[in-house]
This record gives sequence, structure tokens and C-alpha cells, in this order.
Amino acid sequence: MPIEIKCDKCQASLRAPDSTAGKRIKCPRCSNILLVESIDESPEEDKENASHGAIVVPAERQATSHRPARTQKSKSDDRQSLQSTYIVAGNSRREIKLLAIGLVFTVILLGVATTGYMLGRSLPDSDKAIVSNDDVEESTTVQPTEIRIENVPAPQNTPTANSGKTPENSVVTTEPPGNSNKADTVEPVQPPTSVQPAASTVSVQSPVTFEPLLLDEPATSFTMSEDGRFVIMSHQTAGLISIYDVMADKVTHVIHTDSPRALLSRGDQLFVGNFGEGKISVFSASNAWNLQNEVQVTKPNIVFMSAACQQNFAGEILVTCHGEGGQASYQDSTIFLVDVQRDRCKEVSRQAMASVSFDGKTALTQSSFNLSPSGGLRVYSYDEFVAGDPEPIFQGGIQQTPFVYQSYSGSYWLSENMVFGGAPIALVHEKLGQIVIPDTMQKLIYVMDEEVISARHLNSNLTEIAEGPRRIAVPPEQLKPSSRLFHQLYRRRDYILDHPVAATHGNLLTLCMLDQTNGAVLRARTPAFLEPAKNDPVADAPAISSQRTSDSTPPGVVPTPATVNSAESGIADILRGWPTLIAAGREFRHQFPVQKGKLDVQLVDGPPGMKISADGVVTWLPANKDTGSHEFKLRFERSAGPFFERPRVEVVSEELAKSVGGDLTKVNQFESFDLDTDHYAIASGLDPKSLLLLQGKTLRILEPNGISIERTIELPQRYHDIEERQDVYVAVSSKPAILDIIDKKSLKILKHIDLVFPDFKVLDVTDLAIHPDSATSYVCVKNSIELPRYTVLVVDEQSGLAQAPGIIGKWAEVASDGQTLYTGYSDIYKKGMNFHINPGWRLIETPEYGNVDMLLAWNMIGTKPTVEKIVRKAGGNGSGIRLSPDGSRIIYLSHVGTPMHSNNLVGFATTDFESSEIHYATKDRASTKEATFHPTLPWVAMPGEGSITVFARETGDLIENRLLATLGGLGTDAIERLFFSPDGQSIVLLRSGGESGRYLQRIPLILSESEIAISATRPNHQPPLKLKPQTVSATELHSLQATATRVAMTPLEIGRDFTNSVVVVRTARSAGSGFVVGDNGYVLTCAHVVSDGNELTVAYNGTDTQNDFI
Amino acid sequence: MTLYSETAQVVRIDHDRDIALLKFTPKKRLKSVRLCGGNLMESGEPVTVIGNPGAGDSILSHTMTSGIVSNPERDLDGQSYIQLSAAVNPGNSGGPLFDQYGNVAGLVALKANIEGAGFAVPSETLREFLNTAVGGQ
Repeated sequence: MPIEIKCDKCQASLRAPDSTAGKRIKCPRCSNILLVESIDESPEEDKENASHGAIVVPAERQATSHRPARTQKSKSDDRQSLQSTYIVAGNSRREIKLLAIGLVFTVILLGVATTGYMLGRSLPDSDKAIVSNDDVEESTTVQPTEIRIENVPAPQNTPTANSGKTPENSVVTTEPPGNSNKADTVEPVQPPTSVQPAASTVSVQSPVTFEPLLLDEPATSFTMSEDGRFVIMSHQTAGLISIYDVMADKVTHVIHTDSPRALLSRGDQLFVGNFGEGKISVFSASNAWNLQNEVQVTKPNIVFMSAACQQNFAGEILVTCHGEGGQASYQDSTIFLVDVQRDRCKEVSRQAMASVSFDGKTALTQSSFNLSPSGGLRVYSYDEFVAGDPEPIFQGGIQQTPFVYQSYSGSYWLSENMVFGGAPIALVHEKLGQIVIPDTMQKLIYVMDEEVISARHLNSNLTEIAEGPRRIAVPPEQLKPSSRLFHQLYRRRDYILDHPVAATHGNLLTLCMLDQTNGAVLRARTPAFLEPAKNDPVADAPAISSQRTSDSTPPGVVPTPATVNSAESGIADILRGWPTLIAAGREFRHQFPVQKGKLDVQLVDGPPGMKISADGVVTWLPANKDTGSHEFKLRFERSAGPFFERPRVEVVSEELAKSVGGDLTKVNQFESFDLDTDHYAIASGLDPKSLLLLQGKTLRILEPNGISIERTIELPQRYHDIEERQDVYVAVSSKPAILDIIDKKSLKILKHIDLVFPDFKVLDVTDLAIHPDSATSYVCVKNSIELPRYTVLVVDEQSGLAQAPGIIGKWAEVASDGQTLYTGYSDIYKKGMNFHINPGWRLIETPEYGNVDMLLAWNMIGTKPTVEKIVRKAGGNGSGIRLSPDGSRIIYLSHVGTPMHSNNLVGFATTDFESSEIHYATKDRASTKEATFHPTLPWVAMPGEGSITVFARETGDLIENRLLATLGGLGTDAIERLFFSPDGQSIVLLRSGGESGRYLQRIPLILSESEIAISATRPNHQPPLKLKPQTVSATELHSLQATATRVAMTPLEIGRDFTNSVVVVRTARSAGSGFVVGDNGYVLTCAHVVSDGNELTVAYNGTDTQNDFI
Repeated sequence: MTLYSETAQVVRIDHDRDIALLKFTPKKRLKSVRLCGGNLMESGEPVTVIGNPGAGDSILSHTMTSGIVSNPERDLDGQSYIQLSAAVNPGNSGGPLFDQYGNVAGLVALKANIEGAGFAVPSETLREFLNTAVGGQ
């Protein structure tokens, strides 16, 4: 039975011969190295697999040995192999010369081998041979020798790292300094004579040998100093700390301290957490490891300490204390914030463990440990976490939560054999060998399994260093079946709070790990893994703009090598050289390898204008209108009968081809900017050519291109949302609910408005909008657990007065004249209960919920807002509202679209919700959860899966081929938000992928010259109305001052006196009367006369005579 | 007769009581009306209404009608109105209701669906509203 495996890189499903079980094969599609999982076999077979190198040898390549697959191996062979490994482990090193047959790099693995158990079963029939001969590693070994070869093909662009190195060099570099054991001198081993053909000699590394450090007491925990110089081990029962100097290769210092459990090294300082007395002792490395300071923690049992690293460390440590007993980790655990300098200790959390990110910005907690189904990871902003009552940025993780830690700045977190990363923090690589060991000196991790260790860059792909894996050897006691080193060390039913470490000093790599069963620290010294220059284009980008290339294969562009179901040679190559991308406006030519009479080709179906000549030359001049993916059908005629091929090609627009200078390999390289994991809020700046991007305390002002950072501002505290005014920022925080007015120059909080009322508790802040002219903010809050749960607070920024005038809404947008507030309200209500009886005759009750999704327009003139317009079923499970910059259209975003469940969206006219709506057909094209309006062009865009759909805002027509990207060229990372850049010339995506973290990405638009001209204009921001007087002076209202008279007047007299006091009040739609109550233009009228809004005029008689009334 | 037209803004509005205070900048000083004192009107008291029933065109079409107070305290939707017998048309909305001394007794707000019945917001309410505008509350 072939073994089904899936390539974790290209997702190809592969079938590997079962002889490859437990071994490495190369993915035929993407050359990724895959480990084929072991299948359940007899114990003997298991041992074979376990004790020998991972080699896959196809039977066909066994040129001199036509043995049947998998001969049985004797018990003695088995023992011998173990013994042989033991010899290796016992410090013997051998240098082996070997022939490299066109191999870039070769690692020799020692072991007793017979060709028999190197043989895989014969490969399946060729039509099923997905793992083909070229894809498995080769061996030329024919004799039962001690040599096994593992050839891990290196990337083609990799320099031959070690090719120039002589065996002597290798010996020198392999030999650890300070190791004086002469008996261990490495002896070169003669290559087997039968190996051929002869090739240049390649030196190989000796196995990476782990040996226990000589310690007087068993080690209970260990860590490495930040400079990688010292390995610090605690011996809890003996009350000792040993300091092992990596360079000197010996224990140089021993410190006496009571019951040391947790260790933390920062800079020169070593913090030792005591178990039993709640004491942290601080030692100084530069001062001969003398005790410098002691800090007391409120709880006695310190089990773990964590703090920001290197320059980010400011003396604050998160200390985890557990009570006594096996259940303490989830029943009695406390996290303290300890300030070492000031000797302060404060309880911050009751979770099972907390660790701090490298940069000190985030704290990660675990609610429990290993094997607990409730285990979970939470990530908080560090500031919020230590302040108490934090809101997790991320919550999730995996059930069997291991110890997760961060060893580098960036978005990656490591665990036993897993890598977490990205935003939100997600498990991105699991089952990486058995153990992951971070290098403290460089951004590398070492991935180790039972046989080999390899070095990988800590980036989204975990790119392996070209050198490939090295074989490892461990002491015999760790090889025993009872050993916990591999399978059990990190999977035991207790938790451990340290991790293996490594450090590279020059050419020396030191690796250390703790075998808790034996209390042994295993140390290996080996030459540093060579890092070929620049093999890592997608390395973790620093927080500056960088190019990010989408590495996903566009779905529309099928890889050229087509599988041909024919055994006839040459057919498989018939499409060789067929391009995936061609440029519009340039003639495309392709020659098929045909031979007249023997192999002819005809074009069965193709785009208009495509021709094929008798000698197999395809020509086509695609026009810009042909932009997109095309499939052709070709009929090949040969003696054995015809066959058909359907190659595809994507025509890219002239503009796109031009933008990359005609080099189509350069398409889809987009400018990007890495964001933090934190919450984000995006708001347009006061200058419509800028954008605000808020993440916690950090406010970034984006340039008109929507991705470059004009300025980065550190705000006084964390905020949830922000808006910009002339001189101040208006920022709202969620917990506690506060609206701050922040001076833009000094960044000081000018006004601190508590959003607190009697009988009104703000549970959460969902949105912030500001009045364009008057100093009024609208804060959408969740304030109740019963419907309606979302309400809008109207906050007077000057007086600090906040009111809840009965506006419901989860999101708010203010019309540019400030007279209308649009809100979206989304909520769920329990509409009933379902009852089921399960097979065990138990009654199950499941509540049934309904959605409330409304779009509302509120008339904000006057004291009490009133609903002017409403869409009652605006969608389902809403996600926001979007108002076009000119204020003419508004969209309600939700999971099911508008109308409900249509998966389409509607642009409502803000003047009238009931008619003149425009439908945007997003169904099957794009999401209904997010949309953005162009600042000046009448466009609206929605994200799809790796695509963006643009519609004409006022017609709903599709606007196609406007992105400078190929089909599918945007890759597959999720698009959380999108917005047009303020200059209108790009669309900016806020994306997140499990591996890549969260980032902004700018996709340029293809615009005509007139469109560029429109984009260059300022958005139609209406000139702000004069600040409306909120209060009137009593002296201005003369009618209030005038005393009523008691002198009778005839109607004629009344008319003569007061006709000119009566005015016409006119709006766009209606007119009414009014009368003067203040000589300087104050008029009373009816609210219903003016309530339909804008363009209010008053007409009055300006004649001085008062006799005009007839 | 010289007509002027100016843009105005809403200073304060009260939808429940159907009153709005507008502000515009006049080219000349206008004449403010006198508001009634606290005295309740009596049924049968003569009243005068000035308004612009022909609303829509730009010419001030001042129209005067007179009648009597039908009910000084008519309760409609929880609000107290003066019910009057003077002919009231849609364009009268917002216009003044004068008592027999030339004081403004109310703000014409509603017309009933029966002939000869209009309703005005009493001056007391207007005074209260203006005082609120002054206080800013």
C-alpha cells in the first residue's frame, strides 16, 4: 500500500512507496522535503527504520543489486546497528570520503546497512508513480558497508557550500575546542570501492553528537545567557546553580542559593526564582556571579519567569507562581508583575503561565498546560495585561498547550516542535521533527528528529539552510526505549518551562537540551551551519516597507509540465517551455516540438487570431481586451493515434507588462508594510490625503499612497479608535471607556472624558465618529446584555458632557454637513428554543437566534435625534457601514449581504433609502463583509478570495482589469480590510495569513489620464459650515425681554405692527412661516418645517415702511 | 417692499414640542414680537394669525385671519395646544398667533382635519424653549 502524504508546501497529494515510511522524499512539484510518516509495522521493521538513515532508494537505481524489496534482516544486524550508533555516540568521529554524483551536498550517515533494507518496494506502475525516480534520494551503495547516503537536493541557486573543504578542515572544525580526548580522533573511512562513478571528494560533517555535561547534581532547569556565552543550570534539591561557559567548554562557576527553580538571564543579570520562599535572587555575570539583589514575591513557589529581551528589558518580570500539588497549575496559579529595580510586586492574573514577547509589547498566557482539553493561548497587549482587566488580542491555540515562548523579535513564537506566528497568532508549522531549538545568536532554529538535525530560517516558510540535515548521535541511555528525550521528554504529563537552546559563536555551534528524566544537560558542539548569502527573499521583513511577492501559484495559470498518460517518450515534454503569462500588444510565438508526418499539431480551439503553422509554431497577437486567462485545445497526431492538450495562458495587460518593463517574471511584486498583531483602526485624516492607522498606542500617519509612513506617533495610552481634528486627536479607549482629547503637538491629554453614567455601563466600544464642525463625538458602545445592546453616546468635547439620546447603532458615520448620523445596528435575539430527544432519551434544548440588522439615518438637528430613514432588513450578522466620501451612497456590510441572503450588496442613496438603490453583484465574486469607496472616482471595491472586485458606484457595472496584477496574483492571504489610497491611485489591502502575519499591501490601479486627474483632486469634502451657536445669549432674544402689553389692538393694528416680524422659512422641499424673536435674525418656527434638513433659507421684508400689509 | 433671503441655521430644535429656533444674519434690524405673559387664554378670546399660506413662491404672501380661542388647553399626544377657530393652512405652520393685545400667544403648528380648527403651541412653552436655548441645556 502506498502511503498517502500531503506536501505541506504546495498541498500536492502524493503517494509514496511504503518503503519510504519514516523517510524523507522530495515533493515532485515543489522540491519540498517531506517526511513520510511511519506506518504500523512489525517491531523489527520499526527498528530498521528507527536506527538507520532515512533513505529512499528506488529499486531501479540498484544497478548492481536486483534484490527483492525489503529483505528480512537478522537480529544480529539489528544489534550491530545499535552498537554502531553507540560508537558514534561515544565520541568517535569518522571522516568519510564519498563520491558525490552531481549532488550539491551530501551527508553521510553511519550505520550498518545492507542493500536489502535500503530497498524500497518496487515503485508502482509508472502511471501511478507520482513519487518518481528523480524525486527520491539516490544511493550508489551496493555493498553491505557502514555507509549510507542521504542526499538532500539543495536549491539550485545555492552555492556548493562545502565543496572546497578538505577532510582535514572538517576535522578541525568538527573537533570541539577543549576536547582533549585523543581516542576520539576522527579517522577517515575509505569509501567503498564499488561506488561509482568517481567524482570530486566532498567532505561531510561528523554527526552532531550530544553528550551529557559533567555535573555533580542533576539539573532541574536551564537557560542560556542572552549573549549565548553561558548555559545556566539550576539544581533545585542541591541548592546550586552551575554556570557552563560555552567557549571554555566547562563549568566555570557554581552559585549556592536555596531551591532554585526558575531561571532568567537578561543582559549581565541572572534572575533565579526560588521555589518555597518566593524569592528572586539577582546575580551579576560581570561581578563573578555575586549576589546583587533580592526581590520578594507574594507567593512562595516561583515556577517561571519571563521578561522582554535585550534592550527591551526594563526591569519588569512576569513571575508565575503555582501552589502545591499536581493540580496547582490550573487551580492555584498566579501571575505577578515584579519590578526588580523598585522591588514592587503586583498580582496581575490568575492564569497558569505568562510569557512576554521579545519586544515586550505583548504577553502570552496559557490557561492550563499539557493534555488539558481546556488549554488555550491568549495574547494581550502587555500594558493592558499588567494593568489588569485585559481584553485578549487573540484567543485560541491548540488544545494540548505546550510551553510557548518567543526568542526573537517578530511575530513568531516557538514551542516544542511547533512554530506559531502571524496575526492572529496561529499554529503555522507543527510536527517539525521532534524538537525545535532556537539559536540565541541568529534568527535560526534547529529542527531535530531521531536521526538528523537541520537548520532553518525563522521565517514564514522556515526555509532550510542549503547545507541540509546533519546526522545526530546521542548517548546510549537516551536511546533506550524508555528514553524521554524524544517522544516523551516534551510530551510528558507534567509541564516544563524551559526549552532547548543553541548559540553560534563564530564557526562553533553549541546546542543544549535538558533530559529531565536523568537530570542531564545534553550538549553538542558542531561547526556552525553555513548560511548561504541571500537565499531568503521572504525572510521576516523588518518593520519597513519591503517587497512582498506572492508565492502562490495563480489558479488560472496551470504549471506547464502536464501529466501525460502515455508512455511514449517526448510526449511529456510536448508543452515544455509553454509560458504561463504573455503580454498584450506583443506577438506571442511558441514552437511545439513536432515532426512533420510523425507528430503533427492542429489548433482545435483558441482565441480569435491565434494561428498554428504546419511546423508547429503558434502565433498570436493578443490585444488588451484579451487580458485574462485563456485555454486552447490542441490536437496532436501521431502514428499511435491522436491526443489532445489543453494548455492555458494568461494575457496580462499592456499596462502591467509596461510596469515591470516587459519582464513578466516581475509581476505581482507589491509594496507591503508589516503590522503588529494588535487591534487596528483606520480613519481618514483631517487632510483627506492622509490616513490614520492606529494600533494600541502607536498611531501611524500614512502618506497619500496609503502605505508609506509619514509619521509614527506614540500616544499617551492605548486606544481603540481615533479621529483627527484641527489641533487635537479624539481617541476612545474601550476598557476603561474613556474619550480623550489629545493635543496634536504635545501629545498631552487635554480632556479626559469618562464615559460613565449612573445606571449605564459601557461594556465595549464599537465605533467612533466625529461631527465635522462642532466639537461633538459619537461613540458607539455596547452597554447592555439585553436588546438593544448597541447605542450611540453623544459627547460634547468641550464640556465633557456625554449623553445617550436613544440612538441605536453599532457603527456610525456622520454626513459631511453634520446634520445626519447614519448608524448600522446588528444584533442577535433569542427567538425561540428547539427541543430534541437524543438516543439516550435525554431532552436537549438548543436556543434559536434571529438577526437584527438595520441601517438608520438620524436627524441630529436639535436636542433629540429622530429616525429619518430606516432599512429594517439590511443584511444578516452585520460587519459595518460605509459612507461614500461624497455622502451620496451608503452600504450595510454583513455576512449574508443585502438584500438578506442575496450575497450581494446595495448602495443606498442617502437621500432616500427606499428607491434609487444600486445593486452590486458581489455574489460568487467578492465578500459582502467589507467594501470601500474611492475618494474621488465613483467606484466601490470589495475583496474576494485573493481578488478585488470593483463596481461603478452609480450603476453597479463591473469595472474590470484595473489592478496591476495578474489573475490570482494577489495570493491567498485573507483580506481583512481594504481601502483606496488617499491619492486614489492604488488599492491597499490589510491582509493576514497564518504565516505572514498581518500586513498592508499596495496594489496599483490602472487609471486613464482623466481618471488620474480626478484622483488628484481633493475629495468632495464640503466646506465646513460655520460653527453652529449652541447657546444663545438671553439679551439677543428680544421677545424674551419684551413685556406683554394689555392695550387692546385691532387686527389691523396688529397686522401693521407685526407683518414684518413674520418670515417665510423655506427648505429644499417645503416652506412655512416663522416669526422674529430676536432683532438680529432669530426666528421661531415649527420643527416639522425645518426637519427635512439642508439648505434652509429665511425670506423677510426689508422695507422700512410698516404699511405694506394690505 | 424689498425682499431679502438669507441662509439660516437651526440653533435649537425640539421635535416633541415641534419648535425650532433659527438664526440668520439679516440685512437690517428686525422687529421682535412680544410674548404673552403667563396668563392662560380664555375660550372665546379673539386671536389673529399671520402667515404665508401660499407657501412655495418667493413672494411674502402675508395673510391675516382672525378667530377665537376654541379651547386654551387642548391635549394632543401629551402636548398642550391652544385650539383656535381661525382658518389655518399648511403654510401657516410656524406663524404667530396674536392675542387681542398684539402679544404672541402661540406658534401655529397643526391643522386638524376638520374645518375651522387649528392648533398652536402656547407661549408658555415657547418661552420655556427659548430659555432652554439660552441655558444651553
